[in-house]
Amino acid sequence: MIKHKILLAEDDLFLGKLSQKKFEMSDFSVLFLKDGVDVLSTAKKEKPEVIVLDLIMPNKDGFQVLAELKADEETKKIPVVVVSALGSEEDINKVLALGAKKYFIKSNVQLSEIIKYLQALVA
Amino acid sequence: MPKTYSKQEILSFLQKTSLMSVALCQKDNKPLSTILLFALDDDFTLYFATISSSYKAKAIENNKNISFSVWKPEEMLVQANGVVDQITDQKAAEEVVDKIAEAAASLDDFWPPVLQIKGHDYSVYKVKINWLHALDLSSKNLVEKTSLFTEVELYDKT
Repeated sequence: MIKHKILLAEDDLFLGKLSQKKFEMSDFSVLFLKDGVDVLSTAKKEKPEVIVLDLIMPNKDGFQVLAELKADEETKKIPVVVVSALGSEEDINKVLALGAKKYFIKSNVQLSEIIKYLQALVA
Repeated sequence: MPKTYSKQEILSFLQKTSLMSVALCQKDNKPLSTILLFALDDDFTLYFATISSSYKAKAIENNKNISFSVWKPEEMLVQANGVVDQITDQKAAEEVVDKIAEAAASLDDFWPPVLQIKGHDYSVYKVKINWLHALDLSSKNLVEKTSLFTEVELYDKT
């Protein structure tokens, strides 16, 4: 079975590892990064089918990462799914305007919902 | 009669269970009970992690003794005591978080409470268990004047 490749950027080590394990159990292969710095270069090199992006991260935040991904010819078509603790309408609208495909608020979502969405996205 | 268990049966039970009820001791001898995810090695070394600024981490700074219970209705109860040591090596700590995440991933739809916007810093610990016993919860038989628990010596006393 071909595994769909996800790039996961999440600054919380435990949430990141837990998400990685759950995604892998659902037949995704996962590249896990703990900050935003390497997302653009890794996305260019690894060509993931989806990027799952946190917003508040050290060194480079998700807003900036998303803007860079969408400004780059090589990465602009990769769908970006934002999973963030931020939940204001302003943040959600900003992220969607930057080109994110979907926004999940961490406190309002189950991992299974995210997985279901990702499976539909890569199907 | 209730079953008695081998070390291996208890180990298998604990390794397929990921949540434990924990008791710690805070300053001024105030008790603190909580639940925690854990992972267990084949030699009964138990691992857990908590947010570095949490009451749990502060309690462990104060007192390294821990008592915990793991149970499943109609199956088994395990109660144990041990001593906690923090894992300070970053690589080793990340490996432990990986083990705990692996154990948590086996729980249906587990997602920890998201308590702050920024990611947490975690303190990671291992527990040397110094006492453990197990109780068969599947038996409906009653006994008198006999302990229903299986006492287990985890380590040679030599």
